[in-house]
Amino acid sequence: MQPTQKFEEDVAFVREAVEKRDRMQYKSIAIAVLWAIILATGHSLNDFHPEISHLYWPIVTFIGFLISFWIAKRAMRARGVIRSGVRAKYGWHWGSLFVVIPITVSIALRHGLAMEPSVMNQFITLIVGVTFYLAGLHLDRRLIFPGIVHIVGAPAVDYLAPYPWTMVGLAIAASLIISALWMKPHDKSIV
Amino acid sequence: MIKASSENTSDSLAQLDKLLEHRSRLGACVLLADTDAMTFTSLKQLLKETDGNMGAHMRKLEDMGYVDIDKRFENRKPVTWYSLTEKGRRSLTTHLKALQAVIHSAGID
Repeated sequence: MQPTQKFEEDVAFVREAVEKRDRMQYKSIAIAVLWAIILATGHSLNDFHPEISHLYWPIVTFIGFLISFWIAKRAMRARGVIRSGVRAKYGWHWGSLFVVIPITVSIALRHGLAMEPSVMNQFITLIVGVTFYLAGLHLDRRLIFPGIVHIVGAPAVDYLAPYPWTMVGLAIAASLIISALWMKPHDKSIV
Repeated sequence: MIKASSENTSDSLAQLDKLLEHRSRLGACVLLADTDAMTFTSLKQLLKETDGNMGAHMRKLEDMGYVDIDKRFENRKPVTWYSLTEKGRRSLTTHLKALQAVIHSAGID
């Protein structure tokens, strides 16, 4: 065997191992179930107790964010691979929502856009939907479907009755769990 | 021209790291290069090695100072974590560059 042929085979072997490691993603649905509960509850509050939804979202989603990181960290250790780079990528991605949403709300308030809270919630749902969708493209393709449901759900609220936000929230929760159960995990970008 | 190419190949071959010429040791270093740490079990599974062979490969890397080892108990089971040292990272970079040069000079890439 020529040395170059051996090198080529070695490189192919190593590449296969790296790809296999990148596909070994967290397979439990604990994080999906956690967010299904948080999002379904939050959206139904928009119908039943809109007066507390502005408190619910920042507090509960921030706690959910921390719990998700803790679950993912434990899962990484159990899998035998610690990659702080991957953790940071997820952190920066989802953390951006805690900056973008307050900025969106402050711009609307500063310009005196007299929006109904429900309309603001539609905009926020759209932003969250795009964040899910981009996470699906770049981080984990299981998040594409919940992203699409968010994006469709935001304008659909205007046409649903009698509890539009509850219906959208349940649809988002179902999409998260269905995606987590049915779609194969994928660490790598699909674009 | 052919002579120059042959000289380039020999230069590149000379820069290859003997320790990393084995695919499992090379694979272990590449896998560790973009992680903070990996367990012995995950390396063994990904590189399709037996316990004995993987242990021998990792010992060689450890003896040369290419990897750091951290043995601990997790859920009452012994778990060995490996991470790539700075020396290991430098050697891997040099080896991969030489490997690339060899493959390039052979006109394969």
